[in-house]
Amino acid sequence: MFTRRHRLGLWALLFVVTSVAGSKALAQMPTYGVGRAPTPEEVKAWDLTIPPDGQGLPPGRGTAVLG
Amino acid sequence: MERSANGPQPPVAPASSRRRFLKRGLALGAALVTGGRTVPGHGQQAPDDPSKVVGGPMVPYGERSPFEEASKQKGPPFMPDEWGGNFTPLDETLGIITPSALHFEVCRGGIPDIDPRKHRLLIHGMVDRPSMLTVDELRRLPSTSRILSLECAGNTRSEWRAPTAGNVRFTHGLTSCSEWTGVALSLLLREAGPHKGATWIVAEGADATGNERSIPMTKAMDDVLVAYGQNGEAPRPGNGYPLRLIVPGWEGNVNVKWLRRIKVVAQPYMTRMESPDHTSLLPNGKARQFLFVMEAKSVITFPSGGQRLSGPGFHEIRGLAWSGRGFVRRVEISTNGGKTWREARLQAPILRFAHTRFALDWRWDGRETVLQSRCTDETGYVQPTLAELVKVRGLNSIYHNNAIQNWKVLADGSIQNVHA
Repeated sequence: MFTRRHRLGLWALLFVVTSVAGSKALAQMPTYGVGRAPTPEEVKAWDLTIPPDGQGLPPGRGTAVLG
Repeated sequence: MERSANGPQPPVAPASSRRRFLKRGLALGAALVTGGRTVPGHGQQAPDDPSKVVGGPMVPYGERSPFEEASKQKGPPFMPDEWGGNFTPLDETLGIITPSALHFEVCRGGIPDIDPRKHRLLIHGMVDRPSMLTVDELRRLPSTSRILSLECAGNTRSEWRAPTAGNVRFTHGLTSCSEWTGVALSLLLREAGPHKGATWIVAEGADATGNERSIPMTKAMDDVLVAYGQNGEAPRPGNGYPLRLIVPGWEGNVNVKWLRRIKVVAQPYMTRMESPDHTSLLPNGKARQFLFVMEAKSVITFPSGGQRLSGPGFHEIRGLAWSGRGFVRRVEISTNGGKTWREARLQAPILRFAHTRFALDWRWDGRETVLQSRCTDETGYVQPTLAELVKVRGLNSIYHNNAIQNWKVLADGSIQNVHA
């Protein structure tokens, strides 16, 4: 059971964890060392996700109206 | 031929039951031919006293009794089997765990056929150490299990304007509850080493739609699981085999099935499933986006639409409640259309983000009335009436309809879906 106090504690802990994890300078070394580094080709083949600013789109052009 | 081997058909009226029966007849017929012994079930004469004969063989993977018929139901009926919802029969499930075989599914590109030996999870983007993991490697990492409900954002979407679905399967059957087992996503992200400014992740599935959803890093580091287990075995193909992202309390679609990629990023990606879909249009013309948390909700599963009370007298009202914000604290039931409310019993275990079963003793006087349930969660949030919800959200929200459900009891004992 989580009391309000526990939840506050969890949020505080979460803040610390995310602050630490989010800081490149303080990034921890891996603990488990499971998995391998992907090849650039493997990432390129799957990474088809394009953010709203269009970064990563292949060369080309178009407009919303044309679309 | 197979049909005659199974004797006369039982008197089932709906076409879907008949089809199920015919399919089962074929399966049983095949078993009769290959196994060379009789199988109890439909059209088969089960012995009057089973203690007087030797029973059937033990099998490697258990099937339910052929007398049991609870099944998911596809909807809408005019859609192909690869698209739409497959609803859990909440009127037939018991306790809080949904059998994996009855866990609801929503698909937009069919159920992918995935070889777990070839499946990989890629973690990349704004991280120090991009990683490619096999399912076996994930299973080696520290494991955790949680009992969690999962509700489609579109559950109850048919009920905004008028009482539309005839039964609790189609009003509320896009919610289910399983024990999920896997690796904490926070562990995997810490191993990868997210960069400063990495505030979101994008999770992607390996199905034909490549379902992608953006999730804030705060949630990803909190309680999200990369699950390889559901109710003690690998998830069923329709529920994400071999890997599923499990995001406690959040709308079903962000619990990405067939998970194969997590990209660590600095902004939400405004993907297909979080711009035209899973956004809610408000009366002022603006749309709410990234709704995520499934609000507190409850529904009476007995008596519910399409059922019929055997007669006046004692009946136990039963149902399920859940909240995407944590514990269900209280469920109240009205047996007079909302005039007065009585507190229902909550049945242990009561778990955060899980289905919570409730019950109330009721003596029906044989007169027409309306049954309702409303729940309160650990934050004090009270499930709203439809009128209260529509006042805030309008009629074009589509998603996140958590309004109080009304079941009208008619004098003949039959139950109808109504708006109060």
